[in-house]
Amino acid sequence: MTKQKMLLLAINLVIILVVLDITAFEKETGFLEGIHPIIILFLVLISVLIAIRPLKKRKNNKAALAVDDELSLSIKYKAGYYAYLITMLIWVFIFLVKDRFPNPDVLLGVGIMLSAISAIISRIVIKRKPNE
Amino acid sequence: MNNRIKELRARGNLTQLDLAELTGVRRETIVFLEKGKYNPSLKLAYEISKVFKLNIQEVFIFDRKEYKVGAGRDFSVK
Repeated sequence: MTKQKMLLLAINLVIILVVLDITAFEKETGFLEGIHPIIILFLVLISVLIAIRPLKKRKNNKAALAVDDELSLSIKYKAGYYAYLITMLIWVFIFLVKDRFPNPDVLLGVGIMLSAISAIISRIVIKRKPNE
Repeated sequence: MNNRIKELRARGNLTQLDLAELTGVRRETIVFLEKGKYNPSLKLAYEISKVFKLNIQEVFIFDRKEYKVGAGRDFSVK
């Protein structure tokens, strides 16, 4: 097993342990009452992704490799632009249908989740054909 | 835009990682270039050509018809 695979396995284990720990703690204290478990998992995943980036940067710096280059930056900019446009449309749509949903918190959560998903999908699509 | 990066790299016994290091980009960018999925900037094209000690037009083959440049007319300076 390579070092990278070991690291990924370790990260996955940590995520599972953290989620289990939060769930157990939440059952005891109820401090996360009202927050959907998927949102918690989403937040944990984002935190892990944010934590990985500096590690990767450090590793690449040590190996004298570029962390960001013209292709990765171009993908980021394009994906950001499309994600922004899609997010605008999502919020317009949510605004139009808001009266059909009694709980505005649900709509807010849906809007944020859809924005995040649109960013991920935009990145995947742009990465497939960065020239277009 | 077509290019001869893969061929030249194999001829020079360079790995994708070697070329990435020499040109200051990520290995992924070299992969995209070799597959013809990405057109590099002039700077990167120059850096890559410099590694192979060739001119840019010897490494990157620009097909005018592919991009419909100049509608097939000849704009060369006489």
